[in-house]
Amino acid sequence: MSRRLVSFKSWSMSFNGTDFETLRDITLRIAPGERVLVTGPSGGGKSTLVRAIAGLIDPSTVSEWGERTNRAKSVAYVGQEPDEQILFPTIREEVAFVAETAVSDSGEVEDRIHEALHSAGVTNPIDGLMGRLSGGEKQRVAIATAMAAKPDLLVLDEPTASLDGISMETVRDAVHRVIDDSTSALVIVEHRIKLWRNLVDRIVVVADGRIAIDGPLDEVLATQRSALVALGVWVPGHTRAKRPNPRQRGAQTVLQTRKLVMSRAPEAPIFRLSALNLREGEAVAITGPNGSGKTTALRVLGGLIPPLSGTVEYRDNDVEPHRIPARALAKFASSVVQNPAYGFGSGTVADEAPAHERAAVGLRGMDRRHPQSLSGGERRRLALATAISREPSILFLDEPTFGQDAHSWHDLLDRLRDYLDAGGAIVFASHDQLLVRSLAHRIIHLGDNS
Amino acid sequence: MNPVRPHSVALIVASAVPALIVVWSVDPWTPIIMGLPLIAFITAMTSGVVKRPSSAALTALGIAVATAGVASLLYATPRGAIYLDWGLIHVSQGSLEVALAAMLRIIVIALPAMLVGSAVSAHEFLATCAVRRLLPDRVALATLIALRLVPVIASDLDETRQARRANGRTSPPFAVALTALVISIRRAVRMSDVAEIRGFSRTNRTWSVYRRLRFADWALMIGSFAIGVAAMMVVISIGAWNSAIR
Repeated sequence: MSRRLVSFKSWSMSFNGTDFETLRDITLRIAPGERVLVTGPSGGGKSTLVRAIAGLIDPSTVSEWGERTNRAKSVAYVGQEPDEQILFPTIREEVAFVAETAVSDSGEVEDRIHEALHSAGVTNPIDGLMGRLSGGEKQRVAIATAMAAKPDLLVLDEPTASLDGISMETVRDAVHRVIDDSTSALVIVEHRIKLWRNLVDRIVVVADGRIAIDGPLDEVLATQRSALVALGVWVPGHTRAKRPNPRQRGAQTVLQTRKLVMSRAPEAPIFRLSALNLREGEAVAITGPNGSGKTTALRVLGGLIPPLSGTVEYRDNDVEPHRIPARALAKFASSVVQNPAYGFGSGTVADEAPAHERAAVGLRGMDRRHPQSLSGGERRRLALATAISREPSILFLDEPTFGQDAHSWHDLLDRLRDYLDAGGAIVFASHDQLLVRSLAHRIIHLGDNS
Repeated sequence: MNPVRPHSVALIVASAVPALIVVWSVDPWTPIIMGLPLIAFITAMTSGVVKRPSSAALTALGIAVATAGVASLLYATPRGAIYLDWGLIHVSQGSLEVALAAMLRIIVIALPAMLVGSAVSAHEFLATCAVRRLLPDRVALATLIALRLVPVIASDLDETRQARRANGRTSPPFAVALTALVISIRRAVRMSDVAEIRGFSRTNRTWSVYRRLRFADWALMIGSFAIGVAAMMVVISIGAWNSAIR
């Protein structure tokens, strides 16, 4: 019988205080050196499963049935949000935190730090501040940190979810290098099979709390393609027939800007935005690498923060957007920020947005759940449903497709196109090139503080 | 050879000496007699290895000193000759002394701390506390992680205000603080998972930033302490000691 690092046999669990099983009848074995991709629809239980695999579920917070065993001597974990992986101010301290537990001599700690950073392809100054790194660089340091203990099992939960295309590839390459240099098993949660296809050899699809498909990746892609598509998995080479992008734009201008200069905070970088004239029914995409100012631009245009100089004017409104009272602002220009959890004000999903809007973005059967308990992708869709329900003239969306499976992605696109058809205007920031191609009439590309 | 940065424990002890002594006495002579030699000593001992305070920090200190001085001058209990008496404002010989003492005390407490502040490593200080068994490892690590989170919490407040505005909600301070608190707790839970899986609770940690105190570190601590005690003796001998502890 092959040795197992982690095994589950007919295992189910529910979080205390909830009346439904988050994971049901899970039977899964992971062997040393195996490379497993876990994917599936948004909110289906992927993250909970990999947290259980990593041993991160506190038994006192759940009820569980069946068997769960973990024989890994050392497990490493890297999550989705780069900023939540950082515990210390500098790169050296970050990696040393793990290296200090792996070796017994302080001289060896330094060697272990350099080895881990080299393996993950981190070339930044070792005493550099973590806060100054880009999202991709932070994730690479997090991977180096994870590998400093030479774990039996490396668990990655959507490590590229918040990154631009180039950063995604650098993180993927870093994972490739550290895994090729080690004997660690790898379990990675991802929506994009294509990005990781050359690294993993097995796919596990989790849907509705169960394991729906489990097998060798190439075999599953060859024989169960339609099942994967039906489950909302982003299957390489498969594109669902898309409605043509609406090209009819109205004559009326709803927003125009002049000589905008912006910054997120007093000492943060300064960005400039060329003149923008946004018309009814028009979608404008703001693109650019991490840190290029997309979020700042959206917040200034959406009236959430003031510009340093220049003007933003809304149709039929003489008041500068950042001075418009909150309720009136949201009625005319609604923003969906990158982390909508900060803005939820209701105790249940049902109270946050009307049922027809929730259904339109694929949020069904979760009326009584607390908005904060939703997955990242579900929160974004709930925030969009709330924003659209106010029937604003303009929508500002910051990375609306993060964490979306293929089904919810298309639900979201369809709803946005309906909104454009009805005369609404959209400005959105996104790394998702498919969304940009499918929705935007125009693209503003930001880069290098310009 | 590059000069070695003084140990953080030595820097903290040396800069804490004046604070510990001037809280004992409210006279203006203790800070005068102790302040100048102590600041000169710390400056000499850390010369070339410690970044000096910025002009902005010195300006802020100047404003704090001036504010304390003016407030004491105008509102301290009148004593001795009265120079100005207008409503609640009394400028007297006593209030002049109190104002002078207040300003000097602030300078003598703040300036040494500002001189060494940039060179103090919280990590080195807490690692020393952990290795010398003054603090449990977990407490030292949790303190370090909490220090990293201070600016993050400030950014949470901004994010909450903007997200509420995006949702058409006003931002009363209590609601913003409550949301930021909930978000901070949720993040802290996730980060504690990250910390735990990286070995937060392991008992066999090799503290790599820990280093022993060198001769120069002991000299810095003992020298500062000696200057403080000598200044106290002088002030007591000239009969100017005015103890704050009765």
